[in-house]
Amino acid sequence: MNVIGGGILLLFFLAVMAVILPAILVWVAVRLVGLVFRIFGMSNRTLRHGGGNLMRFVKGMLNDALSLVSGLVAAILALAMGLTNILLLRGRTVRHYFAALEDELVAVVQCAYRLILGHPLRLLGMGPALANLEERMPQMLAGPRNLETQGHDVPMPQTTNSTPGEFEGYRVLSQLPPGGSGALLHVARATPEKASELRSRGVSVPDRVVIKAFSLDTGSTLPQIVRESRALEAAGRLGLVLEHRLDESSFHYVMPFMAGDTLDVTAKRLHERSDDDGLQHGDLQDAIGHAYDLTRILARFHSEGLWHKDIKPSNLIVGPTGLQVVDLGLVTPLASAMTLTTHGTEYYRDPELVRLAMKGVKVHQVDGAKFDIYGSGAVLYTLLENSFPAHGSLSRFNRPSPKALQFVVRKAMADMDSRYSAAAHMSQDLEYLLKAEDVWSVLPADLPSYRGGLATPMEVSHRAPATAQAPYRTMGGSDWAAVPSEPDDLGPVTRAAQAAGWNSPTPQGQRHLGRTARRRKRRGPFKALALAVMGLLSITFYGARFTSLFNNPGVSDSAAQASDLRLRPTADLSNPDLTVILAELNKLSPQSLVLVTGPNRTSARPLREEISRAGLTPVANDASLSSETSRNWIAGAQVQRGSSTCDDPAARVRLIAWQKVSAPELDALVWLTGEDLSRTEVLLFKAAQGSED
Amino acid sequence: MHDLTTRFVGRLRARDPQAWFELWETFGPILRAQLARWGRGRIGPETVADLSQETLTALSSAIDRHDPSKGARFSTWLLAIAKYTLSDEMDKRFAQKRGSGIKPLSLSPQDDDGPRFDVEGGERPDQEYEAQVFEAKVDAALRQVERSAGFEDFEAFRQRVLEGQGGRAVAAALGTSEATISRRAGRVREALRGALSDVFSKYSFTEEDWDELPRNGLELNPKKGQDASFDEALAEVWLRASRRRQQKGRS
Repeated sequence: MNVIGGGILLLFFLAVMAVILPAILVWVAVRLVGLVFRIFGMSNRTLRHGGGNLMRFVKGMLNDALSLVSGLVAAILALAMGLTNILLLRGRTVRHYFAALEDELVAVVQCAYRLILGHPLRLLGMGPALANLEERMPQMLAGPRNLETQGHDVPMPQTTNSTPGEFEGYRVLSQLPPGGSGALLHVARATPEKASELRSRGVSVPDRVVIKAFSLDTGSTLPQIVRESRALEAAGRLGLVLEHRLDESSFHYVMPFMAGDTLDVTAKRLHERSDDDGLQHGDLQDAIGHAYDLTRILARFHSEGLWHKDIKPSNLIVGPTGLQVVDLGLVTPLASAMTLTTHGTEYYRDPELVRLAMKGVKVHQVDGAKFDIYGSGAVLYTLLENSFPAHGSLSRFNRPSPKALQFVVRKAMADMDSRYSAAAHMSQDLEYLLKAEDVWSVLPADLPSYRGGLATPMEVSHRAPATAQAPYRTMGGSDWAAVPSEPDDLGPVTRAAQAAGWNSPTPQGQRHLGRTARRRKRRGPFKALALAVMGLLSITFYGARFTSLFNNPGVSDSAAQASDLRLRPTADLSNPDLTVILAELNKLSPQSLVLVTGPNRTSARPLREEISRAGLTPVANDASLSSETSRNWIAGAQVQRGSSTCDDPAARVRLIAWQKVSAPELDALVWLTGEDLSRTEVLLFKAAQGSED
Repeated sequence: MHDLTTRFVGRLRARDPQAWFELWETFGPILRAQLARWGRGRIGPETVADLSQETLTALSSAIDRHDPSKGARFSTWLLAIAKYTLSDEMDKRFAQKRGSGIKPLSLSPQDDDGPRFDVEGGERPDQEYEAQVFEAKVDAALRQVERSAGFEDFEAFRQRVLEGQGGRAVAAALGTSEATISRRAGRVREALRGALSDVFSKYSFTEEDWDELPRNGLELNPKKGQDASFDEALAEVWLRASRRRQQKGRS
């Protein structure tokens, strides 16, 4: 019995092992294949970005090496000058030279960091991980001097008739670079007495303030002072100014200090991460969020009857709490009886404003809010393109960006009558895009402004903004929702948008064909590579069957003949649109050579542009091909034109057979025959490497 | 010289600020680019901005002496004034800095970076400059149409013609039918032909100036079925101008 029992147990054990072992082996094999795909994925990415990264690495190393040397030399000189001035007992000059020394040393440390760690790690593909660190490091290094060091040297003013650089109730900590108006900007902190006085007046006191000071003694002019003081009354109504003081020869006002970078610096940083591919998911969300914040703030300005008049990236600060508008120098009441002036900044100022100003039109005769909206459109353009709109509303988008977002820019920069009638309307469109699951799939026709489903401006302007947290009551005392930050990899605006429950998918996001191509970028390397290989295998398999059918009508399969073809037709592209074509082309590796040609050159050109944006290399004509290939292409085109129609299988066979021998350089071919892309007839791709020869 | 040109020059002579702004808006960027090119390495961007304004000031006095019968092209006339403004400025500078050892700026035709023209009938301005002036005129016409056409009409035209998207894609984007898109684009195309005629009338002194339109495929009096070639030519001009600006922005 024992023997029988043992035998049964053994059999049972063997049976279990027979099931488990293969399962384990399959599991190990799957893991190994996964590992191989992962390695392939990494290699592919490295190769894709390797060239550009290497160039950036070399350039960066050279730049920083030179900056390091020059910084050290400057630091030594500053030190020598500082020591000399100590001997000469010139206190202010000593401070100046030691501040310069500190600046140089900070720059040297930054260069050294980039030389030793930054550039090598970036070369190894760790750029995104470093971006956050590099963003914080300069602030960390610069912080102590800006905030505290100088502050101890400046005596607290006690008199009412303050001298330049001294302000009653405030302790000056540091200076900011002067703006275009020539006024001096001081970072300061309210004394406890001043803070309690302000609180008693119902004003929320921030940790730090900026004091903008004009003085006839320091070169300011009377018109400047008058203009600023006029703007000040208006800005005071928004709570943007804590207090102000005007005497015979000077004028200053106190604003909350907004820590952070200007929007042009932010835009540059966002684009550094994306190269020429346009903004990617999180960065794009941040960009939309910044534009959204701006329109919300402007809506408040306008609802208070004010016009900022100088909206531009350098007047917008992006801090940890979101976007803030600074520089109130040109703020004007919308109902002012003054004549329009041409103040503002080129490229962000509507040319119509200049035209009207030259006609002598009064402020109250125009809708000044629309000029701010134009500026917002130009700012959004800058965010998307990392460049100013040199051509106004006709400026072209050179980087990939969602069509609906481009539409918002154009609508904001359109002619006065066609422009958004209120900043809140623009805000609603941006809110819709922020909520969209896939912003790339939203069409202009889906936007609230297009559908006519806009709320009234006042309804919109009193909702909470998308900022993560408002540090103090800046906008007319309204309480903005504070959203706690979370330790994720999203930007503050995105986090706030998510916290506000803006993640619900839209129906549009479900149906657009282009979504597949965009989502592919967000997949993990293993999944993307596995899908790509499966797709390629499918294309190869079905392509071979497809080709063999054309080559041998009635014959079911001819693998031997099919494997000779270099380019293969893709499946089911009898009536594709641009999105489908691009989705197919996106499966190619970067730098692939794609020929877009055919009798219809009108539709070829935009497609080439799209292909170029997708990172592939479109061939516009025969310039990039060998002369032999060029001749064959011309011959091929003539053959194709001579054929009755591309639907004729024989014509396709001729084309396929012809390109097999004539276009060895090509990776894909798009043949256009109809009036537009909807009539694309042939879309062919190079076969998988293994079956090419 | 066309009647419109006479009227426009008349407005300039009458110091009509709108006319001057129009001239500045259209050709200011080209003047800045040309001055920067000539003064490369010798004058900074601030000076270029000042000089381009001075060029217009000089233009305002030159307009009184302008004789259309001389037959100089508009572009040549504009460039001549920019050249003299710059050379005047450089003369002033070198008079102040004589002996400073800086190589004087040469505007002679032999200079690689200098203008290759002579108002009195010598060599012509280079092709790039001529292309920029032509593109600026087309841009001015586009801006004029953008202002006058409805936003949705112009948007349809922009996407369909300038960006070359397919009719179906544009129709989907704008939530309408292909037929509507074609109709809207057609309306804008017609308006644009009128605007091109208007702008070229203003800024053309010779028949040669006018010939640039058909030479670039922009036929103002089209035969039946020439709309497609007009659209393609316009898109090419717009794309070329955009790329040129992009390159300049980068450099």
